[in-house]
Amino acid sequence: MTFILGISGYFHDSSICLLKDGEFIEFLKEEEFTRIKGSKGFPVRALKYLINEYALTHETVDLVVFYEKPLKGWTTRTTQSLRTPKKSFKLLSHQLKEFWNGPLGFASKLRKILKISEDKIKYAPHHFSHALSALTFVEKDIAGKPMLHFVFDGVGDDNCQSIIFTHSTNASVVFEEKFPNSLGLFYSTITDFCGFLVNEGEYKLMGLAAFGKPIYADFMLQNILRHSGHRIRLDLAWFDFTHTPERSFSDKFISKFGQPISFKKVRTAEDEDFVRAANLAKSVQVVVETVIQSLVEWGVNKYECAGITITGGVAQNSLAMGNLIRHLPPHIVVTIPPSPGDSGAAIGAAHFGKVLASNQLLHTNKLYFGGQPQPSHFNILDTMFERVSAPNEMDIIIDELLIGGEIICTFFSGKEIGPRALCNRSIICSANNVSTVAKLNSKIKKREFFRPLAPVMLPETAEQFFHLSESSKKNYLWMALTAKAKDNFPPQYSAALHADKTARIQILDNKDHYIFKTLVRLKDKVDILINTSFNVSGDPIVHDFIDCYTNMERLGVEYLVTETGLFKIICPE
Amino acid sequence: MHTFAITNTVLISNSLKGKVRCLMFKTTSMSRSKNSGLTAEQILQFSLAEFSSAIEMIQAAKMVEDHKLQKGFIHHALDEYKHTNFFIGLLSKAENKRVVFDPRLIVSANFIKPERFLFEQVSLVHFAAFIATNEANALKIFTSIRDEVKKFDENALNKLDLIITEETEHLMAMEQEKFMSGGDEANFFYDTLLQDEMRHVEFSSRFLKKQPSKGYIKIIRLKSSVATRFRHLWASQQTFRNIIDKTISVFVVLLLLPFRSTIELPSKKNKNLYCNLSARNMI
Repeated sequence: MTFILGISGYFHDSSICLLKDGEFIEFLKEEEFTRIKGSKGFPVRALKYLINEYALTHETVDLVVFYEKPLKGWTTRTTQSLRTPKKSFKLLSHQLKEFWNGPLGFASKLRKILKISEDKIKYAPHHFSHALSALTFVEKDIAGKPMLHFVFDGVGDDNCQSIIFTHSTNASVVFEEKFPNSLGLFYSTITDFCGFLVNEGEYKLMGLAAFGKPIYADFMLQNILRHSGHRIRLDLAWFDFTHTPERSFSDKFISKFGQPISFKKVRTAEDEDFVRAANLAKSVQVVVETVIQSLVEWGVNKYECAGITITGGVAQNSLAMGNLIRHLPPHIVVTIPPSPGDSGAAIGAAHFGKVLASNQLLHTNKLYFGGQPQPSHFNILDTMFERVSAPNEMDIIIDELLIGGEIICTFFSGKEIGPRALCNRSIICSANNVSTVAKLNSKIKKREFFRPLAPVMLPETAEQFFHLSESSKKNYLWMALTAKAKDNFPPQYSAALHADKTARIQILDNKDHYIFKTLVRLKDKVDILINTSFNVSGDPIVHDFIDCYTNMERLGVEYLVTETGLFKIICPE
Repeated sequence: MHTFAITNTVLISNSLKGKVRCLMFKTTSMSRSKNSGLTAEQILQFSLAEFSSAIEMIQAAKMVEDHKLQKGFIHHALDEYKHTNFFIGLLSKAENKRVVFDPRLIVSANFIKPERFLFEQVSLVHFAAFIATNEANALKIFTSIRDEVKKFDENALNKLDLIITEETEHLMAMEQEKFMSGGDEANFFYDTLLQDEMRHVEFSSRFLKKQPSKGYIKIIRLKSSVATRFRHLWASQQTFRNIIDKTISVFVVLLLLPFRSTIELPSKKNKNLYCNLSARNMI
């Protein structure tokens, strides 16, 4: 029995992917263990868990692959800031500390926990890790054929956008855009300006776009992010990210777009700051879609391929991905991996290790890994919950609860691989109960009023009510794309749609999944369920029964469905 | 996606550094200028201290074997989450719009070390003593900011008082129940932790005094107290440490400047990316 580990870390969302005898068996995020969302640094706790669980030793571990070339990344950022040492002193100072505490120390940190020899530690190019994470989810029959992988990132090693060509176990970079000409950093700058957290609030900006007008898009494309052909050039006068880690936008940016926006005091869609932020969000969305579309079209026209993948942090923009697929010729098979960000790049690193070790590609269709309930925490179900019904008797009760407008948490073995809740660790309710959906969004999840909730449905329901991409349908299984509602979309489910009549739908096709069976039972009564992640806003998704209890208590949700039955929380007296 | 401009997180952790008078777990001590009122940075610090305390308690609940203790830790964590939300709510009304709560700050501002949580570092008795000491600090601070919270937001003050009242009633009931039933060692700890949460410092001291080895308890309480004072002292010297940091940075940057061109790495072209030799190096 041999193992390969792929590790991502030090920037955000540290993760580990584990292969056993070449098969993908575990994917863990450090945040699941620390309970601090977006945990970065070396994933110590996830690694220790794997060492204990699988008895990992020097003998059993073949390779450990880190998801980037740390020295390349460090020198890129440092030399860039050395060009203007006085202005960039804060960033330089930050970089010097990174030299000691950052990814350059990966090997020594790893070897403190797992005693393996230096020759078993490898480093994969960052964008190649992204590309391979996507290739892992490509249909097996085309994965070995010529493929183009489009990576849209903030910055990884020294690249911001890349096209990587793979054919079986041959791979080469066919296009790269070097730092600082980054689409991801441009998007993050607007995120920062609008008052959302960088590397965390980008999806909020995406949701906001539906309320705005693209009044700045042309200006941005002509002056800030100059777009010519398939290349972009950032005018750095608008940005501060090359000078300081404290702020992304420059004074020039403020002089054009006004004071930075804060959502702390925004209450309605009529607020001046809301309108300004929505217009910026829509404008940057148009810019991002324009750039992505032109590069993808350029790539597929220049290189013959059986399919393409789109990955990197920017590929998490499901609205841009949905619009891109609608514009591409229908014969092009597009795969956006379930975890396109840095966290998922750990899968690519492990994939890289497998090819080095056995000259074979990695493939999986699984969407749920790890996160099995800890036996030592099973007592929580007995002491903090009351059992409502056993698994064989719970169907009728659950159906009644959902039809009656109740909100239910789900906790099944195996945690979702990406950032989206796919019904294993979800909070669900009927989409045809407007007041319940509103309660779930604003009172329970305490989300900003402009953010939509995502629906889950059976394949035939999705076909009936949404415009779907036939060749890239697989992406809807893990909510990688938004889909536009058809004109016949039933008004009673309108709570499942965003302001622009799109939804980031999940098609559930796994006949063994309890929620699939529930949707079949409820057919014609409740065809669409609302599905949001099982967590308190700002916290990681639940990992065990203790998290279930604390999250439900904080959220104020009573019911929990698991493989062992339906439970009701016992509230503290 | 790497965005090394960490922006908000770094901004706030930097702004906090000058003000944080505590480094870890539930130590909300901070110096305030007499006339300045409650600033957004200070409110953020309270929220981070409460949040880090919640995380430590959740971790303790996941590691402890005793089920009653586990339950106690969970409820303690829930209280701390509630307090976190209280301060986040207060923060939303603060003037400085750029100061926002980010859970990652508890690591970057050194409130917590996720590689080793407190419960993994010390024994149960030490854990209790540490909490007792730091909850006493928290009690002092919360008492001292009461008037400023009132100035800040009358409604918020009512909420703060309500939280304290509810928890006091809850814990008094628990305390009576445990002592009436005699209680085992685990329950004693559970009570102590809850009392700490309720800032009943006197009661926690009484509990620790009931431990078999009074000398030992004295020593660990002293140790906790000294350690807390030392951390506060260390944190309060941030300006001094910043000067040292800056001096070293300037020195290293000056050393690097002449070698700017040599630091830039040559780019490699058209190589098969699956290259074992290349995979061995960090470039």
